[in-house]
Amino acid sequence: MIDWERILREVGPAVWKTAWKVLGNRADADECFQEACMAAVEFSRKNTVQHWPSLLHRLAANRAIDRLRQRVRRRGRESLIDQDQLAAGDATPVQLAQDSEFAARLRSALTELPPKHAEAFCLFHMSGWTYVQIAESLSITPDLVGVWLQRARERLRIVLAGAKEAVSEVKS
Amino acid sequence: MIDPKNGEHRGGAEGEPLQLALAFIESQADLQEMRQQVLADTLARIRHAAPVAVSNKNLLFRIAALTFRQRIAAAIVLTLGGLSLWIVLSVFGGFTSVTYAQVAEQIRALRTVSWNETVSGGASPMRLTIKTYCMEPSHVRMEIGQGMAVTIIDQASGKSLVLNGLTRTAELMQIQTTGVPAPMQDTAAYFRNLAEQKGEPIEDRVIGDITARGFRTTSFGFPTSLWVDPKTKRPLMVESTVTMGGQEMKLRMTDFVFDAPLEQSLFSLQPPPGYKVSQIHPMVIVIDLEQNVTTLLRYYSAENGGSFPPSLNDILQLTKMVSPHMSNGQFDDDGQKIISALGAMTGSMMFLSQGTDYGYTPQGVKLGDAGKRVFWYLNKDTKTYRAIYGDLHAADIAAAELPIKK
Repeated sequence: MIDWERILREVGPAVWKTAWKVLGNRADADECFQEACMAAVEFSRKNTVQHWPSLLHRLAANRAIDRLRQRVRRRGRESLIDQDQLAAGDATPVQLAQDSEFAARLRSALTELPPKHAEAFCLFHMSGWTYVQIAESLSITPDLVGVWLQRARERLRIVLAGAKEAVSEVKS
Repeated sequence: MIDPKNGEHRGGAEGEPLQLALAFIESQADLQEMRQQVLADTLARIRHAAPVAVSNKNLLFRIAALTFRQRIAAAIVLTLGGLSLWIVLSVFGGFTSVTYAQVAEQIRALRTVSWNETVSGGASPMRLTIKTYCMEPSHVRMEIGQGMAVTIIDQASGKSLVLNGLTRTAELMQIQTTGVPAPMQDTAAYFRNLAEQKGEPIEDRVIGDITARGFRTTSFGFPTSLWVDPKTKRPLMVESTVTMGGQEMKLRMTDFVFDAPLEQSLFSLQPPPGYKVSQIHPMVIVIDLEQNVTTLLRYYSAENGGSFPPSLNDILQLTKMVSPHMSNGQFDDDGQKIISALGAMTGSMMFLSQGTDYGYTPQGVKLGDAGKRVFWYLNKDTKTYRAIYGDLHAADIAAAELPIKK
């Protein structure tokens, strides 16, 4: 029997956090998490699941990126600025605004990456997976994971460089 | 930023926007936690939306999970009458206060019967619910998982309609059986067997406002308890423990309704509007354990480099054999043969004890090993043992050569 309660208690919080990191707001993360779990149910009907954490993280990451795309199409990049209350910590309000802007640009740029590159980027940077874990999950080599991540970062750096200039102009 | 654990590059140079964005997201995420309510809601959705999918070990759950497993279920029901149907009918002969003549008279007089059933098994906390309706002369309707999967059968004609409420698909089946009489096809023979059963009294149980008399009996080898209305001599509750596919399951049948008018539409073999309909080829099911096991071993070994399946009880594993034979929702001839053999073999094995009535030893045996035994069973008609070997020939075998449990 699939012990969903145990699986979700053990893996759910980390999967939900991946969704939150990609989406930046709680309501979307909640829905994304549920969608990922239901997709896992559907998947498990026809397949034997070897590693539930991998499956759930991948489903959550992909669904979160899909949601980002929908949000950008519907409401523009502004909708990607974190909607949950921002915590400043030691950061000044200006820094907070700047970093928030960078995060929004990053999320927006994720929607423009090839899907596999975006997935690899999310699993590596937001779920904390290693090259080997991603490679095994996607059935590719670790070298190819490195190539995809490199390409993703290059693209994201270009987009975020534009954001830096814009922020600098505002500051000045 | 270099990951100190594996040297992987996680981000970019300090202060660059990509690194700042990732660090910002990480710091904000640290402040977020998933609410317990989300977990609870998700679990509820999983249980509500897919009660048959939350278990992948319990045989009945598996049978109900997918359409082509429903076909197998239908095959079992059609060929062997359905486990609960057999049990319910058999309990009429199982108690001591009523003579066989009275039982037979009651049964012959019945026009309709329906009941609710819960099935729980193994370590699963989940329960499968089945509503069964029977109507003379040969109609059966089983609603599994609150109607999510429905199997309607006309045993006389061998026609069956399998509805999958999840996918809104309907499949029409035509099954011809040879080998054994189904209980509703040969009721007289069936009740002659029932007359030989004994029942012993157990503690009474209050069900509703009736103090029901309890009896313990055996139904097809499965321990069965029933509580009977002393006035009507009809069961109010039946509990049975059965072993199917190596899994022990508990069946509880309640809410019996006898001779209530039932709508003919309940047993209609016409697919409901909005369902995508497919019609599969007629299935010929032969109730011959030896033949069915041989068929399955042949197909499995052909597709698995000469190896035999690790278990004949793992229906999920065995049904994977069917996938290569499916195209556009239709099975080819080989697929039909596999399903037929699987359904009939599973049905037959419900009534056999592993180690006593049969044994399966595939370890170290490959297709073509003429001298190595892979399966043996007791032919209850001839009272002899038969064995199937690695080259798939079968022969009589002496009991002394077999590891029969005492």
